[in-house]
This record gives sequence, C-alpha cells and structure tokens, in this order.
Amino acid sequence: MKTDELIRALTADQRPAGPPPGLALLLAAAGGLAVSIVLFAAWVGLRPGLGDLVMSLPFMLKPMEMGLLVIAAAVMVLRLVRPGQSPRVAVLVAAAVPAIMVAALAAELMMVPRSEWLVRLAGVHWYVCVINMVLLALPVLAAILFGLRFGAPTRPALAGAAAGLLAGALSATLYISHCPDDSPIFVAAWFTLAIAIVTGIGALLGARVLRW
Amino acid sequence: MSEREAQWAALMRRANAGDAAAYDACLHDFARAVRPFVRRGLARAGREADTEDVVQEILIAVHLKRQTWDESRPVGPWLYAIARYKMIDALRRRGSRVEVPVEDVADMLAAEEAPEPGRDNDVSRSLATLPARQRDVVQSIAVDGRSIAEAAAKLQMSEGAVRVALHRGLAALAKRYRDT
Repeated sequence: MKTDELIRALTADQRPAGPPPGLALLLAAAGGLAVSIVLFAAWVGLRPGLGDLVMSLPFMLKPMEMGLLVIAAAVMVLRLVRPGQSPRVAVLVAAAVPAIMVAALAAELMMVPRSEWLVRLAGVHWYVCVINMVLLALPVLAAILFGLRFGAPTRPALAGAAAGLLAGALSATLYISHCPDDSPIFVAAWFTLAIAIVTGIGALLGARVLRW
Repeated sequence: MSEREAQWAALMRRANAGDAAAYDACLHDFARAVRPFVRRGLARAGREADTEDVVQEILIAVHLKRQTWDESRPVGPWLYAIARYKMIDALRRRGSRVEVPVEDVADMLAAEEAPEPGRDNDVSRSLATLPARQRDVVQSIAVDGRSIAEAAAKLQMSEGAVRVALHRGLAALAKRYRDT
C-alpha cells in the first residue's frame, strides 16, 4: 500500500482517538486510590490521637515530604504520557524530598543519643509499615498504568517507574495517618524502601504493559 | 517558533476541530518530514530499504495517538518523539539494536517525497490478516479511493458500520506491529 493511500484511510477515520490522556489518568488514579482508601479503612485504620499531632514537627514533616513527592511524581507521569515532553524539572523537584529526609535525619542523629538510634529505626513494627505501604500502593499503581495506556509513553519503563513513584507516595501519604513512628530515622529508611519497591515494580511492569 | 511549526500547529488545531482537508495536509507533511529522519536511522542498521514501512507505521501511530498532542505545545517534538519510538521499535523487531540520539531530530533535514512502495509492504501484509470486513473497508477507502458513503454502498453496510470497521481495522494494523 502506498503512503498516500494509507493517509487517505487515516483521514477518513474521523472517530475520536480516545480521551485526553490527563483526564484518563486522573480518573484512573482516583479509582485506584479509592480502592486503597477502602482497604486502608477496613484493615489498617487511623492512628489514635491523630488530630493532636498537627503541631508536631517530626510528624508534620511526613505529609509535607510525601505531598511534595506526590506533586512531583504526578507531573512526571503527566509529562511522560505525552511524546516529546521532558520530565526533568519534576525529577529535580522529586529529588528535593530525599534531600529534606537526609537533613531531618542528620538533625535527629545529632539530637538523639546513639543508643536510641536503632530503637527509632525499628519503630513499633517497621516491616508491617513497609508491607502495608507496598500493598496499599498496588491498586493505585495498576490504575495509573491502565490510565497511561490511553496515552503514548515513549519511555515505557521510565513512565512505569514514575507511576510507581506516584502510587508509592500516595500510599505513603495515606499510611501516615496510621503509622505510629515519626522519627526521621524511621521515615528515611522505611518510607524510602517501600516507595523504592513500588517504583521498581512500576518500572518492570511499565516496560511490559506500556508498549504501544 | 519556526514557520513550519506555526503551520503544523494551525493545521493540527483545524484537524482536531474536524477539518479533514487540514488533517490530510498534516499527515502528508508529517510523512515528508519524518522520512529523511527514518531513512538515516535505518541506514545505520543497514535497513534503509524498510524506510517507507516504518514511515507508514509512524503515521498510523500518530493517527491513533493524536489526542496526546497538547495544543499549547509545538507539534515537532511530539511528532519526532513518536517517530523515534516507532523507529527503535521497528529495528528491535527486526533484530537490530540501534541507539538513536535525541538530537537527531534535526529540523534541517530536507523534506522528502514518498517513493513508490510495492504492493507487498508491511501494511499490505498486515491488512491481509484482518477480519474480512475490516480489510475490505480499509482496502476500499485507501486503495480504491472511495468515500465512507461509497464504501458503504459498495460493501452493503451502513455508513456507521463502515466507520467502525475502518477505525477498528486501523487500530488492528497498529496492533499487528506490536505482536510480530
């Protein structure tokens, strides 16, 4: 078939190409998050005395860090879903989050006696935190990957990783309202680990399911 | 912003508003623009002969993903990102691995007219594997040059059914590339 002939068929096809990628992503992510919130409410639940913590700096650092990460990762996903848009600025903003974590960690290590470090690192139950954060991220990750398929990610693994980062950050934000450990030592270790796991899963899945 | 960029953006906006002539002009322009880029990339892998097949694959992808162009942004980077993605994909399927530098999307390359591809190229082969209705509709409109209404009359289908079959047929062609 000649190229001119093919173009004739493409021009004749006036059916809409699909929903705008931003809208598809928003709806998908909202759906996935709703599932995670229901699971969270059913199995995990809120931390007692949550309302009194709003004035506590170590506690408030967590939603601030995760909120920033959510915004940066969302911009990354929205840019990677469209061909020819660079996620660079959003990556730099996201990189500010580990920087803040390290600064908070340094401050904590200076203020807390050495004997306390490992206690704060272990927290009440660090492994439960990690497992829950990863599990609660999975519905969101699946939904975002589904939403990305309406777009045209030209870097599938990277787009999948961004989806994982966003899902992990959303899940962590949700989990903050349960997690009883506020030490920056705990956050730097286990929040980072959980989000890194979800990001890795996203990259692996993205390379497979986001090709078009 | 270059003159070509302004022209593309204007054409794409009109195309999105339903102007078929503008869309037709757009696709022809896109084909001319990506052809030298594709040829150069394929030449590195000794696959220059496949240029027109890959150009056609890119055009189908552009068509099916046209909603991912953001009207507030230039068309060129969007088009070349799709072209680059599809070219690398095509090379990978053919067993070659070629790094295509991003800077390769040189605007300076002169636009190139289409050669005369044979009747037995990629799209024609994929077309032969489609369900009969989709194949007949795509064939009738592309090769025989019929309008939707004429194709409907010839194939004894409703115009709506022809539109659906055309859209599904084109989407299936894109999927054939992925599955091979």
